[in-house]
Amino acid sequence: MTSTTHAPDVHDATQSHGHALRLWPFFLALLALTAAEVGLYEWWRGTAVRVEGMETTYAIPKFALVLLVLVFTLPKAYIVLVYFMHLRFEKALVVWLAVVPLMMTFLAVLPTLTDGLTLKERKLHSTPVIGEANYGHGKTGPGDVPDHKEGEVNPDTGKVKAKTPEKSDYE
Amino acid sequence: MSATAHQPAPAHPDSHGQPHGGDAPLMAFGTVLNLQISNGKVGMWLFLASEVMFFTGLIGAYIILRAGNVTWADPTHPDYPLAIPLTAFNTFLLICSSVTLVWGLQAVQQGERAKGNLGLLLTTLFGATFVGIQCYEYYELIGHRNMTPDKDIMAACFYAMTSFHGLHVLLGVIAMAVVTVKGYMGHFSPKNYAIIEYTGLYWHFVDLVWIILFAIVYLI
Repeated sequence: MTSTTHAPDVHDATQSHGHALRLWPFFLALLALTAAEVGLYEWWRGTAVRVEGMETTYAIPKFALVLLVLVFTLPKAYIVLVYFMHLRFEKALVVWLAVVPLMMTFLAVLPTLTDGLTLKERKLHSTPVIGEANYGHGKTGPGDVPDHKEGEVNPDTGKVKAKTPEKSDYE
Repeated sequence: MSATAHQPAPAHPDSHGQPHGGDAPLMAFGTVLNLQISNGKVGMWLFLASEVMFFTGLIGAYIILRAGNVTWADPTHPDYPLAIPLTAFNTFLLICSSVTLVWGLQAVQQGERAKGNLGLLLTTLFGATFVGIQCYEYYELIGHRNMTPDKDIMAACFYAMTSFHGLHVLLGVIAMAVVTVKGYMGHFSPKNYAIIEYTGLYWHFVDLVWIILFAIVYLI
């Protein structure tokens, strides 16, 4: 600073004292949304049906839970960003400074998400053994199975153990 | 530097339409472009933009690893390590801290110094409590539930994201503590509260990141 005296901090001409927020509605909205998403999750978890060796099933599929949680999360993020961070009352430049990185977030994550989903599909089908269910990680049935070499014939079932693929960097 | 360079900075950027000789580099953004946005605010938003990219890297990597992983911890399993009720309470604390910060800032803007200082103090205390609970959670996870960062990919992602966020909260608590002390020393007034505003932006950003982290790490 070129000034030798302590000058008062500059505040924007855009900072109007008429923008005093009524806080209770926002506080209660945030509280209600948080309680709703936690309640939804606990309910979903409570509907689980676990069977040994099988995938756990729920009242609604996982992707539905993901969407519903996002339905509760995004308004919370909106309230904090627009009202608490005062973005609603800011100049366009500040709004762009906030929004552009968020847009880049989606651009960075979404295209590579398909890669991740494809990877999961490839892993799920990584040890094809004809006639036996695949439970992931090379397991071929409920509980542990004897570890025999790839390419060998299993004396119990008469089937040949398929080669497991090389481990990827994702594991 | 010219002889006119040592003039005190004006209180309102719109009181001078043209840059002063020596102040031009410092007030350049607010005056040359005539946008009437303080440099501090632009600087803080630019910093937050970089923080968004930082957390994007972490959250994006988590989403992709989670989507690409066949197994992940089963939330219905008796040994599921994460404590949702405790973390929900932590989320509530952080939300309260954002509300008290806005309340305190508005009080300062309206000249109610005691209320303003109380708001800043409550924000600092809520934030410190959040950090304390996070530390307790780590202690429980590592000490009693055997969830160390090198246990599996889920643990590694969990600790990477929550620890970086926790570090941001800790730095925010320190900044808020300094601002609170300055408040009690009478530094702020209806014409001088920019520091509270800029620190508040950072604090609300930390809260915003936690809202998203809580949803995708603990609930989804």
